[in-house]
Amino acid sequence: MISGFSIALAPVNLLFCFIGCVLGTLVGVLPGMGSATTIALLMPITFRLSPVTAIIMLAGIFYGAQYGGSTTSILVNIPGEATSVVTCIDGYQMARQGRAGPALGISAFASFIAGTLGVMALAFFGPPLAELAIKFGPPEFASLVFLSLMLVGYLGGKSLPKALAMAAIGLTIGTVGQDPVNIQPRFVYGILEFNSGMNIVPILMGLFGIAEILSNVERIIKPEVLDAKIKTFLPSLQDWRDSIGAILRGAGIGFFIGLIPGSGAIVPTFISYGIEKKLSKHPEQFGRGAIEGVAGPESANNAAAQGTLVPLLTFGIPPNVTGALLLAALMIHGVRVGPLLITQHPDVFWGCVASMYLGNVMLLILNLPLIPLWVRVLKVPYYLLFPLITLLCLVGSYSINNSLLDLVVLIVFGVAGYLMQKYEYPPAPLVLGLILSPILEKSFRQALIISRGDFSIFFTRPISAAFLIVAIGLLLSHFFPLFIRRFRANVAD
Amino acid sequence: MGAVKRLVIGVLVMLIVSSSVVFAAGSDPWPTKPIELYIGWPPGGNVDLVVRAYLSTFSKELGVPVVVNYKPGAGGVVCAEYIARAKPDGYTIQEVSYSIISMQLLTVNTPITYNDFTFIMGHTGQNFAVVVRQDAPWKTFKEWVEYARKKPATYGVPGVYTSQSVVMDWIIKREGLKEVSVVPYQGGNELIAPVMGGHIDLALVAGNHVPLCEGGKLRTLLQFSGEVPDPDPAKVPFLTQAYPDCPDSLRAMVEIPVGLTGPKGMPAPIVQKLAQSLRKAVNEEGYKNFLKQSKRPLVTNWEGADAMKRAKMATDAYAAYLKQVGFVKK
Repeated sequence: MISGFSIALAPVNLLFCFIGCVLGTLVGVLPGMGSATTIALLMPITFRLSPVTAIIMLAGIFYGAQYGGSTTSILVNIPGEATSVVTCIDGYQMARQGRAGPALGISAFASFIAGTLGVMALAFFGPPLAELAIKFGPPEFASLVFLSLMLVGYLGGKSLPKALAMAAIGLTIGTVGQDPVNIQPRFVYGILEFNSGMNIVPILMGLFGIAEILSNVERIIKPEVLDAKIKTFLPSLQDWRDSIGAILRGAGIGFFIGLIPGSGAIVPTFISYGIEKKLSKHPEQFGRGAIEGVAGPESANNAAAQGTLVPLLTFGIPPNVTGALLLAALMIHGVRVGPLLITQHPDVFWGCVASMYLGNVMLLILNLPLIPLWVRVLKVPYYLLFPLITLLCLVGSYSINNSLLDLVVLIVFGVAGYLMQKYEYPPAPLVLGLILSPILEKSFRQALIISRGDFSIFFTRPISAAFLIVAIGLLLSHFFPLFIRRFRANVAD
Repeated sequence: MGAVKRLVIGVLVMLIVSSSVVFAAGSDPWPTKPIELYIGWPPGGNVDLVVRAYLSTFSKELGVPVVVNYKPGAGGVVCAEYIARAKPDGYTIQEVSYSIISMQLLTVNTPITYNDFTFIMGHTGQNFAVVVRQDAPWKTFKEWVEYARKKPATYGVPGVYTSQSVVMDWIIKREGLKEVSVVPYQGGNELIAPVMGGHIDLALVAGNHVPLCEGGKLRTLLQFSGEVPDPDPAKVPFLTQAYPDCPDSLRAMVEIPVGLTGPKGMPAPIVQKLAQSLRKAVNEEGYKNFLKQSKRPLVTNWEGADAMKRAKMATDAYAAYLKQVGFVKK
């Protein structure tokens, strides 16, 4: 560890750590521009660097993007990274109430706290945690996803049926593409691109960004209203009191779910949001600018980013595209990532871990002074801001796969999102359904193939059973009060 | 301000001069502009790694920059279709596993077949193998087969109709195993965690198992193609040793290489120039080291008409297999 710091503190490594963090923040802020694309573009540049320096910079882009992702979510309701989609719900509301500063501030602090805790967990418990993570098989995965799906009720607005309807639509859209088991195409309508499923980023940008612009154009709010209300840039003591619990819980949830290969960093943000709303003394505030609703998910996605590095660095199992890229970068440098990494290349492992401590500090120092600057974006007149956001959405959607079809998807979902907003159908449950649908279907069917169609596999394995019990508990806690009320009403009659 | 302007103009002049020098230097008229090399997967995948290992020499040999573009979608088919419809002038080519353009095209709705491509040069194969976790009870593949005769067994595949799973399916039928479940995953990366965690008995992997075998977390039971990465490679049989009666068409499927292709109808001199430059690039020490590390074979016999013939063999066998299992192409 100490040798790790001596590596990370070498001037050249510090410099590249800084460059990585700056670039990461930047791509995080720009919607559509993901960390994966950036790492791929920059990989050739790292060829001349030593492997440690290269991985320090590329990892900086990876976790730095999690800091920047929340910025556009809060300011203009477009998730900068897919993992910041939940932050839109309350972050954007806070911005509209003139509290963009505290929202950005708390998400920077939440990212910092979760990032640092995540690095510590990775450094001290990496290998045993990775052993734990692979205990997660298809049945456990299916039950976890099922549990996540129960959170739909916490994501909606006032109406539970509307939230459920949206989740159902999301689940259905998630089935577009080749069947995961026998690869028969479903709902592709002859469009080749749809064979691998629908791209999530244009859908998110449409539902949130474009829809918001359309409905604002209709409303014509005067920017001065927002302008007058911007008071502070940093979260107050009360904000801290409200969100510290959310940050710590978010970090825990994010890290543990991040550990499991294949889970990604989006699911924990939804779980964190649901838990915070459930635990909150004022759940009605959620969706109207509750700071916990920003702090929890932002903490969760950062911790998850660190969590995904555990199976990557200890076993060489890439958790996602970005992880696969980091692995590829190391392979090009002749460093094979696998169980032998820590013994064969201790400099790479510990140098990278130590640089992440430093990187998180850098990111905090980098992001806090940017807040007043970002808040001023809100003062840009709408006739300039709206075309600019639309342009960002279009470029961002196109840049992922260089496909025009993604622009069509963006516009279709933009219009759909506008209508949904008008008739008060919440978009978040749709996104949750969309994200969970393919994972749920795949792991559910894999589990049943393993058990030869025997459903008891979900109940006899302890981790899976525990998830299911919690899920059923959540379900009952939703409907039980409803039954009681009905029952009382009947008795009163 | 003036200084900045002068600097900009200076840079522009330099660019123009240097580019005209490049154009003038080559007596060969082709290539005169950058070549776009497409990859049908997101960055960081297997094919991407291969390209990055040879790219700089390849582009030096050609004398023009080779720009890598990613066009993912439908398991590589979106990109394949794009290439098949591109102008056959050599400026638009793709690096792809030949299994995609000869076999996988049959599983999706597209009129394009391997006949729509020019096979420039196949240069590396895959490391296809069957692995178990280190502490699994089966020491050899035969032991697993005996186990699977008596008890329900499972194996994971990176997709039901991938070339490895077709071969495995043949083995299962040949051994007469009835109680074996095939658990489909999406791509080889997803298979490592479940086989290590003991959720599936075996996994059909493609190269990403190499460091885990060397690190003592996984063991190879059977090698389809490539090199055995285990500490004791002598103990691991190859497909042809374990099953000498395995038909050639199946072997063609798992020994199918990764290589460069372009649209049908590319002029012969251009194809030659590309193949020649690529041959130089893949015979470089750096590239060979890369292959050795990832235990991939260097393939040199997949060029021109030869490649076409082998692709046809694999495609026909694959089409017959799809028909036999009742896969309906919509």
